[in-house]
Amino acid sequence: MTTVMVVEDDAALAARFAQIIAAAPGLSLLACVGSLQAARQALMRQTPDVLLTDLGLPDGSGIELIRDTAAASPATDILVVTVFGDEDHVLASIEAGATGYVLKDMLPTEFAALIAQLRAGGSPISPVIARRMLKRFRAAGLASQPGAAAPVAGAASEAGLSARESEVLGLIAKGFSFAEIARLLEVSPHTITAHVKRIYQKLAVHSRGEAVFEATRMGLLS
Amino acid sequence: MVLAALWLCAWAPTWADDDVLTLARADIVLDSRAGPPPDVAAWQPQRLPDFWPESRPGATGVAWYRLRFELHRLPAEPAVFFTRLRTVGAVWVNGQRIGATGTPGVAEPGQRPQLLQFAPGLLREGPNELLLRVWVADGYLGAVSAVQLGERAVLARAYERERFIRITLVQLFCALSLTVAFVTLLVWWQRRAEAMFGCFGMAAAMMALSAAAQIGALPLSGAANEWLDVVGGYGKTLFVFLYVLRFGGWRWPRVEGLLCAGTGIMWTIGAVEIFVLNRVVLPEWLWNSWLVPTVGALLLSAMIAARRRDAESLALLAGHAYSCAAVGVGLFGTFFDGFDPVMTHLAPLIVVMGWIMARRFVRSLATAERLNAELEARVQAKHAELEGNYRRIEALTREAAVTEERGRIMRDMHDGIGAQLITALSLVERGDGVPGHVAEVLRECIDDLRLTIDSLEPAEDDLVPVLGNLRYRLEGRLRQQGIALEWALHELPPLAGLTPRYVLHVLRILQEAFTNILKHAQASRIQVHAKVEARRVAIVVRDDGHGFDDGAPAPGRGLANMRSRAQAIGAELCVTPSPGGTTLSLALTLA
Repeated sequence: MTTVMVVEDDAALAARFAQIIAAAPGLSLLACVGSLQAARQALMRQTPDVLLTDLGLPDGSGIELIRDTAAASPATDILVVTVFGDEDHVLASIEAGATGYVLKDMLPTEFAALIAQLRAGGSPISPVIARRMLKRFRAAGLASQPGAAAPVAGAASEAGLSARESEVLGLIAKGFSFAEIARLLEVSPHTITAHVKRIYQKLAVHSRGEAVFEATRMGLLS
Repeated sequence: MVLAALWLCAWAPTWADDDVLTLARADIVLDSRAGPPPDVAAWQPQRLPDFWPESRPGATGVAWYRLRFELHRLPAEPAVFFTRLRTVGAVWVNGQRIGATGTPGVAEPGQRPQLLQFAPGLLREGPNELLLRVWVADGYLGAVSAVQLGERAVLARAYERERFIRITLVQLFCALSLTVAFVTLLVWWQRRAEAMFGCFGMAAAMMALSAAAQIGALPLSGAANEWLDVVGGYGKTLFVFLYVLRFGGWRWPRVEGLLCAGTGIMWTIGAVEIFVLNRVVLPEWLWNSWLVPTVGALLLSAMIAARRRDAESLALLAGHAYSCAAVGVGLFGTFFDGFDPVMTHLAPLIVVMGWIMARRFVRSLATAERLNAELEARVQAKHAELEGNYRRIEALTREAAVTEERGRIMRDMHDGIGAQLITALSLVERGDGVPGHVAEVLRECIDDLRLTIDSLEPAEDDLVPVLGNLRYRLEGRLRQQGIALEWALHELPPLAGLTPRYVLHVLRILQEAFTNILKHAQASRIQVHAKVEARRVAIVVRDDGHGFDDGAPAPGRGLANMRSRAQAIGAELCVTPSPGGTTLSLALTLA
């Protein structure tokens, strides 16, 4: 059973999420809170598998919650609640440590599938987000330009995208599904979802500062 | 500078040499005979130098000078030297004719130094006698300098020196004036408005004429030369005066006219006297009328100098002062020996005037340069201004585009989402709205909102990500209905100028196509690929459903909508139903 905590100040929306989670097999609602403070308190008591948070909370930004949770419990998958077309906030959330996002108007079935995908190690990503991410990596010189050789290797590749990751991101930006990309690259779909999650992490490392992230990760691994 | 140096050297005291005897006492008799007159003739004592207009005004003809002197030592190579002899003459020593100057019967202009050498045997210790016969032609002024007798070598030096002062210096002055006149008049010819250049050029030219006439530099007859002197003398006075007027910034048409007329009259009278009457008829004071403008110019330049007190006006005043002083000295004194200030009285003035003109010229150049620089600066300022304007216009254009875009989005939302919301509302209000039906309408509404927002994403000439996004949006619903999607849109040729409006039309057409398939076709598979042709690219959507059902109204309305949208962006929509499915092709024209 995957436990989900919902942080949403819009009561109707919170109710909708709660309803979807309750209806979905394999998902259970751990808590449903409406403020940053309540979320922090709830997180101190319990650690959900999935944290579903809005960004605009009455007492602060969801970004802070994402950053703290990503640092405190890396095992938790963080999903951002967003409206359609708000890619900038999605990117900011990913940079803070989120691993995916849900649209407020998502179909219940889509929502359940998304969480399943997330728990399986894959991160959902839209072509627009992929394109934005690719642009950001390229601007930082951390992704190979199309047709160029992989720019980074060894230790430096930690924050930069590998050639394969760039390729995957490029194909997602063109609208291909993970399965199609897997077929095109002759790998398993699972590999693609892993790639995408890794890309998310790299974007977070790249934006937050490698040292902090690495230190946290190393400490947890040991 | 050169002139100044020459001027200084010319003022050096006359030499005194023991080997040279200066004979200043003579006896004179007016006698036209060719040979020496006898002692019984009417000899009159006469000091030398003898300037006829003073000693015997109006007299012309032949005169004999007798100079008696004692010699205690005989020169080895004897010679006689006249610093100035404006006459045709011949010289006898102790009764022996030793030589002549000029050509008998031909009046010659100019006052030249003369050096005559003779045999040593002609002189003897004790008393000696030298006779000089001079012929003063009608219309000429007689003048005989003191006679110097001594060693030829010593006198030759004096002769050369005198020649330099009287001939070479004046020639130099003449050449200088002529050159300056030429250059200045050329400048004036190009720029007539610069009257000062004209006046200066003409004054310099007149000075050159006058100087040339005084030393007989031109191969002209005596009379012509004499008239040239008249022309140059009055001309230079006129133009120097006009120059000062212009320098002072004055324009006195009456005075100027009067002066010009007077000068013309003097030229004419001079010509009549010299060429026709062959004698002077005008009283001397009238001939000296040129002094009026000369002194006038001095006074005017003094006024200018008092007013301006700058280097130019002071220098001009100095030039005029020198000129007048030299003329004055020349008129009231007689300069047979050494330097004649009247000959070159205008030399400093012409230097000053030349200097002023050069300064003006340089100033004009500097002004032109400054103006150029200013112009450059102004051009740059204008350029910056234009650039600013351009930027403002650009900003305005952008603003207008944004406004237009906002309008478009509003219209789109009104026509699309608005209409759908109204449909949903009316369904709910009628109360017969099946919840599923309302949800469907609302979902369509959200779909359209998504398309509108998607269309705003910068397309960067590439339709692939835009279509990819559409596909991503549709993925969930397709999966829900168990429809397999074969997506084969890898690359498309760049579509220049992909505007949000264009993108939205394409997205809506394709969305409509998918919606139709989802709703009516009962397809199990949809294939999407692109067909690139020479001038266009076609996006092809093929399903394996049962195609259009004539009984179903929705596709018809949807199709009409799709067609009008395609038309709006210059694309061609082609829907081909067949029993095995429907093929939709949207052909976009490449820019």
